[in-house]
Amino acid sequence: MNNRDGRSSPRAGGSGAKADKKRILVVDDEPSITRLLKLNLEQSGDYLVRTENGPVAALVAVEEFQPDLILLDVAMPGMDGGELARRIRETTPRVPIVFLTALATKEEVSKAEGVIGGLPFLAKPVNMQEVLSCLDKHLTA
Amino acid sequence: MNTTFFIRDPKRAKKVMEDVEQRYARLLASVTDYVYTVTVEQGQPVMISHGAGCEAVTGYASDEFEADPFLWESIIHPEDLATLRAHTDGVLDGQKPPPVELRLTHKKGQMRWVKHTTVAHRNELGQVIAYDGLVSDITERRLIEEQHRLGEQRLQAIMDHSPAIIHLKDLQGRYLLVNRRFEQLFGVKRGEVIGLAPHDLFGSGPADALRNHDRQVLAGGRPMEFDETLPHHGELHTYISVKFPLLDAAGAPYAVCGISTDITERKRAEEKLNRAYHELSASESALKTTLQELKAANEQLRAAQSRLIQAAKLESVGTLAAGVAHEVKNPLQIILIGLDYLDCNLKPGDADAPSVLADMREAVTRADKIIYGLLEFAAPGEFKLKEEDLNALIEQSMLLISGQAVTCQVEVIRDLDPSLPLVRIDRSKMQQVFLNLFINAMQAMPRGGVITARTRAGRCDEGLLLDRAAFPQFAAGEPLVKVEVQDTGTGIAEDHLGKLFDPFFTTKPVGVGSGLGLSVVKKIVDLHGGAIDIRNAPQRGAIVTLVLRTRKDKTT
Repeated sequence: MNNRDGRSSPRAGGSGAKADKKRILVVDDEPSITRLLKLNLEQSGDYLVRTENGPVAALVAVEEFQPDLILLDVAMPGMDGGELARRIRETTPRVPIVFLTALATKEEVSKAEGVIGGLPFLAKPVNMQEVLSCLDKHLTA
Repeated sequence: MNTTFFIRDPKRAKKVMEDVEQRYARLLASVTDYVYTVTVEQGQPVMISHGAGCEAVTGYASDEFEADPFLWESIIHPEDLATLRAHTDGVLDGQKPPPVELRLTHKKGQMRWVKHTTVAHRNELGQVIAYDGLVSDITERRLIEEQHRLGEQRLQAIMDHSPAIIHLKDLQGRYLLVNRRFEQLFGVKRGEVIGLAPHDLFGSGPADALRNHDRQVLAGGRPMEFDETLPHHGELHTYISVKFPLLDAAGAPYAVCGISTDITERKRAEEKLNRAYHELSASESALKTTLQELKAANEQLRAAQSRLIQAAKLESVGTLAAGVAHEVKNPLQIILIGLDYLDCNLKPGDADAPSVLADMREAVTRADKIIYGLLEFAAPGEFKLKEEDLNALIEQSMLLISGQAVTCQVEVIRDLDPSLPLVRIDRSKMQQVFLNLFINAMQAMPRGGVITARTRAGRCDEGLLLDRAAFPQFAAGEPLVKVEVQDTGTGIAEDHLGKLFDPFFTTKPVGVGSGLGLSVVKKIVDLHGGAIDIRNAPQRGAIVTLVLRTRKDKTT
């Protein structure tokens, strides 16, 4: 189920007033997670968030939404996060990707990381403070 | 009789002669023996006069003999006739033949034995002019002799048919009598043995013993029993000998009789039986040992089986835990960022809401910890094994809990073996183990106490003694390191001892422990190829024993 709200623009460089808002694409097969992340992030006033709950819709959203950063669930039905990240990189090589993972131990995460090479991650459950500082770090980089 | 009389007075001489003749006639008449006189002329008998005794001996009166000159020879046993004639011829020839014993038939028909003695009368020229014959009835004596002979024969027959050796020796130890068995066994003839001593037959060794026994019997004057050994056909045979003295009419011993039964076979059979018995008891004890070993092996198998079951249980719990953990993480994520959202959107004036949200956040953190523990247990991750100083690691772990120890009034004692070799371990995993053990120990002593950490190194069963029931997996002589963590706390309830390493088994209040600590500890120790055991200390508290293998030839 796609969850596009009125504030997401189809193309980059939308209205001037909100031009400095960073565009975040959140992809997770759990709609509750995507919805709450969107609510929390947009509440801060700094982000424009589009959410997707499936890998194919996510690929479309990358084309349409032109995100500044992608928060990507590692384990999704149909295509895992690693594969999805590789496909995204084919069309959009420069966008930062941060994984969200329920694979808890660091060793396991580093294995998942190995698939696409050196991508940062947030281990679930993660609070908003951690999410925000992570976004800060990778958006300014 | 050679009495010579010198009588000068002829009258007186005549009187003497008459007296002598009368006395002789009286003597003849009084003897029951038969006396006859044969007058000889020219070397031929011409007249016979028969004395009165002839009737008593032969049943025939003297006139009957006078009437029939052939009567005498006719009553003589035909087989003895030649003897008689030879005797008579000898007398007529002037010889002095010894008496002969003859059989004759009494007038009443019985056979009689008689002794026939002759005495010749000679003239001045030395020619035989007459001879007297004395015929005495010796039937009684001959009968007795016959009976005696029969008795001897009977005795010899009995002796000869005895399976035992029977022998009779005189006081000098010379054989008087031996039986046929004796002859057969020792390969000698009766005639050769009589008069010989055992020393002549058996050599001095065995013979000394025999003589010694004979002397004991003679000294004791009563029957005795001995074990005797005699060689025959080149091998020693064992006999049981009954020996007794033979006494003469005066009661004095004159011989020793021995009856010896060969018990060699019996002895051999006994020995065989004995051997068989010993072998049987030996094999019985071997069987018992085997049975015990089997029982022990069975026990070990059972223990191994229960360890396998335990391992399988842990494995399945681990697999399950990993799956569950992933499924739980997403709901926790939803709750956590939901809480973040609510935090920012509280209605002003709601006083309780922030604390409710804080409690919820705390609950999420706790749930996350449990899940983290589960995942650690399910997959402790990769091991980075290095040669490490266990003592240093223990010191470091103690440092990490020292603050908490002061708070809990727990004293920490180090009893660390300075000669401990380096051990190949994953430092951080092993630190997790020690921290777990120290924290458990502190939690077992809510009112304070003492934790003792002890290390020892040595070869299994040699320098280092282990409770082999708890640690059967180590071979004797294997170089090992032992770590003990002992507390002075409440100890462990007996029915909890078997469950300590089960995941989720906890005795701690809700929220204090995940129930995973010891199961993770065990998993880490197992992955190091070591072993761990927890039991109550003799006085109080619990004692955790951890054993790790050290590399051979590497002692620092």
